[in-house]
Amino acid sequence: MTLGMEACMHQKIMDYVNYQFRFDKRENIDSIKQEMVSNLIDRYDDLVKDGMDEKKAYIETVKRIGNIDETSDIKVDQLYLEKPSWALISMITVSVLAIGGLAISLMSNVIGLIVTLGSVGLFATASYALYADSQHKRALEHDIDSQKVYFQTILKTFNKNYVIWSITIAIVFSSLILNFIFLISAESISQVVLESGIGQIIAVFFIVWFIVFIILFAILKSLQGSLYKKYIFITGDLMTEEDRLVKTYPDFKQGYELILFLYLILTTLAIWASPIAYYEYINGSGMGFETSFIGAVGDLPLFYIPIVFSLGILIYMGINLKSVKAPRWLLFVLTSLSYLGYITILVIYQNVLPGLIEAKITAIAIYFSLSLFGHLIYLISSLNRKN
Amino acid sequence: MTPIGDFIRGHTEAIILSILEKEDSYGYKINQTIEKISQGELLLTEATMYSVFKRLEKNEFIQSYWQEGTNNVNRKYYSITPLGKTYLKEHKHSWYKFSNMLNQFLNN
Repeated sequence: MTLGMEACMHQKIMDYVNYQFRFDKRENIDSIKQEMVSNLIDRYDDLVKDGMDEKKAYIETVKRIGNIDETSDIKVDQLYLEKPSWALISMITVSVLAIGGLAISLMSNVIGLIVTLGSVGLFATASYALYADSQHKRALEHDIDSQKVYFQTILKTFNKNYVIWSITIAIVFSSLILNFIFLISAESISQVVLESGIGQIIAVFFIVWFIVFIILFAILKSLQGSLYKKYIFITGDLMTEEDRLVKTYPDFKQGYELILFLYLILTTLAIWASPIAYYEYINGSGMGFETSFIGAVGDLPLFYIPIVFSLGILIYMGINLKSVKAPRWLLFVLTSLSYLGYITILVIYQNVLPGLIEAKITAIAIYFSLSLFGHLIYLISSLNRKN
Repeated sequence: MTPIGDFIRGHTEAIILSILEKEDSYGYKINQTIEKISQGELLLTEATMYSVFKRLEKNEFIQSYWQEGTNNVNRKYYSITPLGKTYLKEHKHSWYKFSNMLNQFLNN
């Protein structure tokens, strides 16, 4: 009876060890298990010999196995040392939604935009949750490693997705601009297709897409710079490769200046395009370029205002692009004046050159939208700086 | 774990080597010796024992062989190598030096 019980308990110990190592695929696992089992059985036998109850002896014996992970060289990533939170898991969904949004935006702008915004929103929420959690852990548990891992996860997800977000939003945005152009112009899409072919629309779409993409990319790239700086500031950890990134790319605030600079290049081009457009118009009557250009500027002295101001800002911005100490008020006054010049041009086109409005309204609408966008960013940047 | 156990923990490898220096032995017996000498202050789990043995074997401080014991149970025996003896000697030397130094500090 006792012998049967003993054999039964030995088998139970063996089963327990087998169960503990059931996922272990090491070549020498049988040897490890055998050694462990022989030691455990010795212990069990001794405990029973000393008068301990069999069941209690069994429990005392298996308790001495300890943490079987110690026997393995395979180290579990710091990230998985605790149960993953919803925020960590959501980071995968962020990437799936970003790619899905891009694919869908090619078919349906609205749904594509919603999915992409969902991806951005989820990223923002999950990042905040991870950030808050890491701060909490640091404060209460003094766990700096988790903080670092969480922050790295935020950065990795951002790096994986920001280009895709930019591409998708640029697609949607450029479609909206095109729709807006056709909405305010006298011509319909089908009319333009009939007159100039689909190529022209595709070209315009691509140009607008590219501009919007560059702007979004610049914003997100500079946001990435800020995130890296924050990471280094909080963790004190200099990530060798990423550290280089921080030095190469401007930070968030400088990024705004870069966008403003791009915007000003565009406005200047737009303003200079107007006399050239006028030249083309006049050219029909046989006038030379110089004559018609001087004529255009001379006939319409208000052209001077935007040209002078936008060129002035362009030069100023070019000189001070790297400087953070640019006087805000000066830039604001200059860009506002340039902006006023736009409205003036539009009024002039409508009143002085009524024949031109239909032909050139498309170009003006594009510039107008872009300048609005540029100003919006500039205003946000001004508000941001005050903080 | 008591503070004594924590102090000793850093010297687990040397403790095992010192036991094997006297005679070849196997896991459970080594653990029993440790338990007895430390008066129950130092309790090594099977997993810890295994990882220490593995490290010692990797450094070629110990060798292992299988031997059939009582009840037809195969036991894995360990024996100390010359390299292990040298290591133990060095460890003892630095320990004496360290403990003397600490004594001087603490006895003042």
